[in-house]
Amino acid sequence: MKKTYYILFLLLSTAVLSWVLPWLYSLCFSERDREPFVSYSPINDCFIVTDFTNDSKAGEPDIFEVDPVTQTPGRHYTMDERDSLLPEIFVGQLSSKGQMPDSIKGIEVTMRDIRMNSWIFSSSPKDLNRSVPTVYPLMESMPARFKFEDPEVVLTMPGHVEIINIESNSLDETKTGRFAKMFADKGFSFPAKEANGNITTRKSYDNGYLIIDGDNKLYHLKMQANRPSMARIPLNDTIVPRHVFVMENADRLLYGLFTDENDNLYAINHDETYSITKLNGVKFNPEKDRIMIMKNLFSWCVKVKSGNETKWVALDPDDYSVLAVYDFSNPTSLSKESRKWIFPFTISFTDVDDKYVYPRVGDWSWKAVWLNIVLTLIVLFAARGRNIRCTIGKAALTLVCGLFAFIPVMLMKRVAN
Amino acid sequence: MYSSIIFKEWLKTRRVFFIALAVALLVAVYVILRTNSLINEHGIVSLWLSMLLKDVSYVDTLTYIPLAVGLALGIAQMVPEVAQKRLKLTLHLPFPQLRLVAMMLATGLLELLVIYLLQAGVILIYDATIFHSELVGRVFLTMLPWYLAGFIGYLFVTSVCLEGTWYMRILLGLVGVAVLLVMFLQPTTMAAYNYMIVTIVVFIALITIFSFGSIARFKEGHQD
Amino acid sequence: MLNNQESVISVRNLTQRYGKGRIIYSDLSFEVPKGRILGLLGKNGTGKTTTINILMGYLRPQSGECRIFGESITEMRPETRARIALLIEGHVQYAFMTIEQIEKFYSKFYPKWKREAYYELMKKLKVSPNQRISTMSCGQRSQVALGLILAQNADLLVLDDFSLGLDPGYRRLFIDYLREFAKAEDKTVFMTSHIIQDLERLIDDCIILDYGKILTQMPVDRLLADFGMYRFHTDGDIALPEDAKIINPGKIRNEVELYSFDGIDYVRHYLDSNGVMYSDLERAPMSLEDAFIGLTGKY
Repeated sequence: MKKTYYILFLLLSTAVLSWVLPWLYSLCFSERDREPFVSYSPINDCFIVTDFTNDSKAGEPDIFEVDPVTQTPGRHYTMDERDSLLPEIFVGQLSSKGQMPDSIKGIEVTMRDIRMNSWIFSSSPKDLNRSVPTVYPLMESMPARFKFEDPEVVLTMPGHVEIINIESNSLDETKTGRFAKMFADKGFSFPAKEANGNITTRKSYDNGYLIIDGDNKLYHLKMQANRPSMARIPLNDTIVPRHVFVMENADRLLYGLFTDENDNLYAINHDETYSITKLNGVKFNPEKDRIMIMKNLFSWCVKVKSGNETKWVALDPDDYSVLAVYDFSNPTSLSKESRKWIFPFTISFTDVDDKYVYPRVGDWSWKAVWLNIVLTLIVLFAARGRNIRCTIGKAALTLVCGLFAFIPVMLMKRVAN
Repeated sequence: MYSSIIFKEWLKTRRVFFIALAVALLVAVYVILRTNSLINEHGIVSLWLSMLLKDVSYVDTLTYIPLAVGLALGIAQMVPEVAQKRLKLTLHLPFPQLRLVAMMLATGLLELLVIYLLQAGVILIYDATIFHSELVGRVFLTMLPWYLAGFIGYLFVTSVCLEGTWYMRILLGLVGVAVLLVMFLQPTTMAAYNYMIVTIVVFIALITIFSFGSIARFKEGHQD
Repeated sequence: MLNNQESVISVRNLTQRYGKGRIIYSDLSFEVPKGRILGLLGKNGTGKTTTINILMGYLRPQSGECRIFGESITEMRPETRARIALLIEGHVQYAFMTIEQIEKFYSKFYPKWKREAYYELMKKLKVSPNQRISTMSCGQRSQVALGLILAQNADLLVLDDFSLGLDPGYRRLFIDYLREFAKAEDKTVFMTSHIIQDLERLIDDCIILDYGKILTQMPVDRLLADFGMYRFHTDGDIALPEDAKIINPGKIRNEVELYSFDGIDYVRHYLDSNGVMYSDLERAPMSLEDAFIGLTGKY
């Protein structure tokens, strides 16, 4: 019993320290993100980078254009110059100064045109990597008074369709019957793998839900006049959808986006046939990467941040062809580098990319092996003359876990002998 | 003999048990009343949507209550046992010592379980009348780590109390605090501990060893 | 010293230190025969409670072996523990229980439980059955503890410093009850005390501990017969050289006091051979407390 107690306490203390120490370390040496602001200029057809880290003048970021072919920095600009190069973004600044051009690229534009055709889409792994309810509020897409109201029913699709009235918390049999028939007619396979909708009354129109069924078929579902409206989105056999995102942008260009199992990103065009277009040059895994799409009249600027690497791709809004690409790699900081010499690994319970709590061991580093060896020698020296098996156990633990085991081993010296 | 051991544990804990039960139930009633007033104010739909879209569980008032109950019960049960080295009396009883400690812990854990079941039961039964069963399940999964933290807190307090030296008490206490911090890393996210529930339950079973270890150490003379 | 009767407690070559430091005692060996009352006497800090802790299995000795009823104390069976009544220092009991509750609690553990013995003593206490032990005086608590020991009807009684905090009346009450019980029922008692007064009435054998060693272990009546306090008168300065058989000599003005196991003839021989001028040499009457002080010294 006593032996088990000491071993368990030693292991638990080691585990606790492999969480606490790296956490304290990052608390002491926290750093801000060095990622620059990058946008595609329709004026000179290249990326404009606003880099906040290497400030050229006091308070002024370093702004430069990127050569579309070589990806190297080109001409440098002032902030005012940058605003005029990105009129669709800095429309407010420009018009307040009376510098807003009447036309861009030979096309006449008004502020309204810019506003109606600009939108931002973003997704973070945290949005997906969490426990999400599979109870979906259903909005009425064609409200009687043209004003959206909070949903009165929810949809669940475990092995069959159920429409539940929120107010009474009971099955709405009429609607359930209608929806069940519709799902059957459209050949829907249960259970649904994913459904995405945008439940808010503050939107100009409702696109309902995009749903991936049990057989990886893609569906579009809305409730119109209390009746289901459902369409199967035709997909090429080779495309297996993974995640879907409904969009309700003012330009009514898209029903939404989806990714497939190869991390390709597709747009579902807002047309009768639900045509699909692949976004070239973009690889996006919603479970691991962050994405931000800034769309305007002249381009899609897609930013995908995957680990330490960030990639910007500018796409032509008409045919989604690639206009330019810019890659950025966040440099490893000194504190991140030096922790590798101290900690052989770390345990964390949370991650910026999900909303779960569970232990995860990571950041393995061979560089800490030197420190581990030194600490192991100290443990062996301090334990000379003691029980051999016990000493070997402590030394082995210190060799693997380094500082995390060394501290409890030394603290326990006067407790267990 | 079994009934006598339970009788002793009950004598020590009954006051704290009833106070804790009352507090736990009052909090449960408060949670229900507050939910009710929100329904009257904003309508039930708004609560469903908040729960579905914004991860609002409406039970956050009781986050730390189970832990407080666990700690209080552990202290009430073990402090009279160790004050003035009274543990010597207990260990001298003609009863297998390991089984005796197991009985003491089991009594405490059972009392906690009763309090927790009643509190959670009241809330979940109420929730089941107004929310979809999946949402009730999510509320349960959100509360579950709080109750498990209560058991963990109880077991650490008992092992700290039964330990005879201040040095080891401090070490045990520090590790206990760190473990409890893990239990409250995402208290507002619903069902955030889903992947860890089994691990936590196994962990709880493992840390009962600490109380037995403290007793084993006491018997070897590790006492201040 | 102790006869060849069956030993209830058998201690062999016990050595114990404070941590890794000062020796409390080394090679302590003794036996407690059945039916005898043995007192382990010593000043504060000489290791009395340590010995009880080792005997009861609450401390692992650095070396040596203890057996009670022939069983090693580290692996004592619960049935054997039932044959031993334990009084811990300060008459500590479950203070959160009432007089009635504590009786109810203990009675389930001991097959030979004598409820009447407990309540007989409680009647004398003039406390209500519902009174909690924590609200009682030290003397009353000692009676509760004693009552429980009597009711347990154990074969061996181990009492750690029962006199602590008791006024003379309660001490006397405790001793008388205990003696009567032990002798009538042929019980064995192992006890420690740092107050020696009254103990003559109780104990048969004694072990007197000093810091780091045992001064003597023998039956009390033999100690009082053999160990003598000798007084004499002397004029002027005298030197009293060290002698293994002359213990703790002390001089106040012209009166000298010394102790020896070896009789007045040896004392006379010692004084004569060392050329000490003396008069009025006599053996003074002595209590156990005097003998204790004679052996351990006043400091």
